[in-house]
Amino acid sequence: MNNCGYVFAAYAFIWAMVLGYLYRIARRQSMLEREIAAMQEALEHGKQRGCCQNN
Amino acid sequence: MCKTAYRWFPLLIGATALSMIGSLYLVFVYAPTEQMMGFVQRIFYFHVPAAWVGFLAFGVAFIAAMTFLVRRELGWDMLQIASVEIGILFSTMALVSGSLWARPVWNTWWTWDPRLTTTLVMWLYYVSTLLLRRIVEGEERRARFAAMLNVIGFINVPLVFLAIRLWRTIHPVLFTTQGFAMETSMLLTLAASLLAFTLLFACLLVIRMRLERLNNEIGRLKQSLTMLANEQRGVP
Amino acid sequence: MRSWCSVAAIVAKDVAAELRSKETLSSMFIFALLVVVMFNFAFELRVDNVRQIAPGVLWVAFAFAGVLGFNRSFVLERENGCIEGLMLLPVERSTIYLGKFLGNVLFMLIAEALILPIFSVLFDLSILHPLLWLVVALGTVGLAAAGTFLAAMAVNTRAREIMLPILLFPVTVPVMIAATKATGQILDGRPVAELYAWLRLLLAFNLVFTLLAFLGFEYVLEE
Repeated sequence: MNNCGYVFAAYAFIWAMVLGYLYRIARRQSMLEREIAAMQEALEHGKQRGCCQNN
Repeated sequence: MCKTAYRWFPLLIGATALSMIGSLYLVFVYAPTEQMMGFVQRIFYFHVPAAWVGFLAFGVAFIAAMTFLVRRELGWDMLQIASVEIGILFSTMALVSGSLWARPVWNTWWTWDPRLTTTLVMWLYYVSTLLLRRIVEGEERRARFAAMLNVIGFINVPLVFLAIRLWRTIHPVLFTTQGFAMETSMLLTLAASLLAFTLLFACLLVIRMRLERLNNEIGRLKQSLTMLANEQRGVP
Repeated sequence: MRSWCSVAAIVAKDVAAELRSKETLSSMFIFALLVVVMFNFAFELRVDNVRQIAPGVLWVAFAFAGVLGFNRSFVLERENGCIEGLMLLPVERSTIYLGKFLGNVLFMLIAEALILPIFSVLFDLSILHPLLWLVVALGTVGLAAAGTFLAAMAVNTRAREIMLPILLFPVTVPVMIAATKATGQILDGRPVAELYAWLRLLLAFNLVFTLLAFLGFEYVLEE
């Protein structure tokens, strides 16, 4: 069982890459979702105000 | 299209997990130990699929890029950016795992061998295209340039394979003219690992595209907000 | 027939502009000179036989000088609004590419002709081999084909000075390898037969890339 360290390192690197990438995506996703929610609220708000003004 | 993909997604994840676990067993328990290199040879079962999936990803990007240039639908641009990112991810895995395998076997972390050089050049190229995307302004122009670069860049992939036919290499060659130079049990393990990595690629692609769609939606919402604000201010 | 006139016109325009200011040529020449001198100096301190690295140094110098030239060929257009003017012409975009490409080749060849004697002196190598000139010409065409195409894209970005080399290096690796190897073999006095593989590679790259760039330039210069 020589050189186990290298096999472990290669495997660990692959895992780290995949999970790191998923983590990055997850973070960006939650940030974007929050932004979208905020913007949709602002849009609703704006439309309601617009209606009132026009009436 | 998106809705059906999302319904199947849990199934895809399940399939990936299963194939990953299955291939793990094959790699570490079932596969025989190679004579010359010993235990370290098992990196092969990660290294090769990672490299091939990287090529696959760049191939998908190539097709998406060409389709985008013809049809100009932003959905194809999203596919190409997702593919290139994931392609770089897998290619990095291939390069690093290869290097870790090289150290005990060739006694060096790196060598300017044709196979390694062409792979590294391919990696650098696609990383540069990502960099260009960040810097170019204008959504349509960005997509167009990226598509152009992805179409041209795909020539890197056959080059990696051709390089060993044109020059001598110390990198082991799988497909010789006499067919596979491998035992069946190893071939089976490799196939299982390849399946697992390909399914993983599909998963990552779906996830990344979802993110890109969110991005797009933000762009549209911003536009609507600006239009609304202009309306209310009386700006035509 | 008309397309070739347009190509010639674009080249003539660039040459005329250059004759007036001489900015591009002088900066290319000085930069290449700096590279050659600095590398020679730096390696002299450590390497026994500096002639070994001479081919590499030469082509790095050419590549960097080329990058300067390619960048400027589009930056100047952009700054003066010439790109829109060019696009208004009733010619295909590919013609613009050809014109720019040939202009760049011309400027590079001039700069290289000025650099080679200095290189010859510093490294104590004879450059009086017609085959060497052929390799230099082929390599220049390869660098310019890729450089002109990528510069048109890079110039649209904020970090235009750095973007072109980053894009150019991976793409022109075949050219650099073949040119450096061939130059080395010529300077070493190896038999001509050994050169053929490298010359073929250079020719193949030049043909393929020029064709690709020619066809693809339309997508680069839209709007």
